[in-house]
Amino acid sequence: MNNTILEIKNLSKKSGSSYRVKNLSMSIPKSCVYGFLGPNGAGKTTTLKMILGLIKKDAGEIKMFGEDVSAKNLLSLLHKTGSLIENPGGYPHLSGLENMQIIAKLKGVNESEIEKALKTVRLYEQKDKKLGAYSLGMKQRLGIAMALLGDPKFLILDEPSNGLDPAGIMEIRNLITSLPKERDITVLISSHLLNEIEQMADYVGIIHQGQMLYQGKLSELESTGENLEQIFLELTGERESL
Amino acid sequence: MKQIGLHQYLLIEFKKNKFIISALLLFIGIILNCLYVLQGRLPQGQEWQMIFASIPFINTLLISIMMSVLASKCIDMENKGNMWNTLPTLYSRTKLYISKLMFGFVHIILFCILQTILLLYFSIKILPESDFPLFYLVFTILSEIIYGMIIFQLQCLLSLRFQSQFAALSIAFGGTLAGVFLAFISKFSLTPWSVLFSLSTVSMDFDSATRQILLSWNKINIPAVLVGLIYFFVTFIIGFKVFNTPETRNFTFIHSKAKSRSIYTILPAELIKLKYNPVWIPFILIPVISASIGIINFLGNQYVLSFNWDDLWTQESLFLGMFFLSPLIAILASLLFRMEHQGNNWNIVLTANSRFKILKDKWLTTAALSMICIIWIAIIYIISGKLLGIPGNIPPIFFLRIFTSLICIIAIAGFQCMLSLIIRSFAIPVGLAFLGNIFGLLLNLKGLFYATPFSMLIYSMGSTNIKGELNIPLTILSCLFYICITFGIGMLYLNKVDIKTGR
Repeated sequence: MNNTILEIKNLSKKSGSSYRVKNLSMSIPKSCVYGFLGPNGAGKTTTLKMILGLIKKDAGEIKMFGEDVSAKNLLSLLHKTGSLIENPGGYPHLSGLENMQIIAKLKGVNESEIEKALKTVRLYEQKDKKLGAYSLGMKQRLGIAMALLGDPKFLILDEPSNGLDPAGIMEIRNLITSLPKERDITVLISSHLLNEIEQMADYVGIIHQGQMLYQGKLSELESTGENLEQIFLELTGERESL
Repeated sequence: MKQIGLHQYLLIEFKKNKFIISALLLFIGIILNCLYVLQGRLPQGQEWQMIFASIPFINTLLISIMMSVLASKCIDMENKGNMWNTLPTLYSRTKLYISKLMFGFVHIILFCILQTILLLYFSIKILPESDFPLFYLVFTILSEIIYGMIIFQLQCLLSLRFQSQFAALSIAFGGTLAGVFLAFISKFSLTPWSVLFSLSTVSMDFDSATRQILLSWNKINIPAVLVGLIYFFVTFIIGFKVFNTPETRNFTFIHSKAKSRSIYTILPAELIKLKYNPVWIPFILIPVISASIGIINFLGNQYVLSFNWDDLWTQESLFLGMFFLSPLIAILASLLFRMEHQGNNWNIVLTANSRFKILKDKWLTTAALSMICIIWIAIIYIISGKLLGIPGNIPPIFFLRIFTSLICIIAIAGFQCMLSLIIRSFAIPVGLAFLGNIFGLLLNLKGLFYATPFSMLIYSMGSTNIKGELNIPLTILSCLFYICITFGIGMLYLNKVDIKTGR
């Protein structure tokens, strides 16, 4: 039985003559939290967008749920996936609930799931407020609720802690770490907040200038005696520049 | 810190706006102006009078649309980029306002220069014998500059107050429609949109005995000039005040809390997105304005028109069918796509459903809501005809014309959805629809009714001649062709191009 939920080989994306992502390979086992680390502009969002088919890849292979991702099966694979890419989106003139209704309709999900998703991110009480009046943290949580609609087995979150206060960060962290155990959801989370990833992830991948520098179990990495921050700075060559 | 001059702020405005868009609008505007002014035969000995009689009419429409689109675009870019919190920290609100106005001023000046060059060329090449009316040209140009700036200032105000450009541009189009017609009724400009028309240098009188139009040069209408200047200063001062009072900026129809509390809704996704947007206002109001103007015209011009169903329809549907329906469809398509262009919403919708369904839903929603316009004006026509006691029956071809118009709407909705998908700006596709519509009008004058969806809609509506021959199979075929092409391009774009997200 295939135990990886995502398998990427030699993925590349060019922008003009330079590479935004170059020969990137990645393997994510089922039911884990995979921390995708990299400095700003390293190619994290570009990689995640290619996985979701939001932008075209120039080369490489992507396998999700054991299937090669193609135009034909992309949508059916996406229906088993939830995502929050870049900053949270939504329609500011509508309430949180109405935004959820739109996503539920588009995903073909029963609207009864909306309540569960909103309660999971603790937004149910504020569901009638306009999105435009939400704080950044609330928008972020609504984005995660949208991603959770349809009971996905694979969750892709692009810097979900952006703009959150310490309490919000802790809340999101607790939610993410609970997902693999309680709901059998695999989470791919990108971030440049090393401490956060250190507290959540089972596996890490470190990307720099479009190339994967390291991937493996976090525990193995830490067994070398150094913490994630030291290793990250060493790998990305930013230690010298400090 | 080094102070920079106003010209630098103007350059910054040009840097923010793509020059190609300005060039395109000016180019299309001047071409349409030229085609309209020179279409048809010019009466011998009165060529210049005819030309100067056409200019205020066509430019009331062209300048209004061009300046509205430019103003909406240059204000909306700051709305979308959340720049109102940043710009005033960089330079004064007054300079910000003046630099925006200068941006509009440069465009209206360029438009006038191009028009002057064309008229001078025309004078040398085609009418070398006749005296060039230099005085009237100078007066017309000055009127156009004042009119252009009134519209620009007004639209800046509207686009600032109504962050949904849907409302701002709907008011602009409704105003243009009402303004043009009110200018026919009164020599005074009753609305800001009637100013140019009221300053026309030529008067046209209909001689019912000979059934000919008599043209004569006007003396300068001083009260009309004063009214124009009042509009100019009032819009300038209100704009200045609004720019300088940031806390009152965002005017919105949105209530702070949603009305629906139920988890369940029967509305499709696209209609949920339209909630709290007053989309119904222009779709209900503009046919009413068009029909009301038509009825007044119909009753007031009985010495030219006949008291029958045919003439009632041509009058009631004239402004809607010939000028405003296509831009209305465009506004709706722009609104639906703006929802996704803002923020990172493409990331959400493209991962939630197939690209085909997303495009199809937007296209069908645009078409279905736009159809209300046609059905509504048809209802008004029937009721008003009955109330006026028009003898006889409604011509059977009327119902066929309504049917073909509905098909044309589907094709135009497809075309506009394609434009609004590719062009992220709200106003540009709307401006292009308006220009496409005027081009359609010219195609109609040349007899090329079925060449584009715009020309087909104008012809199908039968606003100039309800009894004209109507080739239904050809209309359907041509519409199908455009639907396939535009939908195909839209799908190709969605599938092949990396959609940009972010503000």
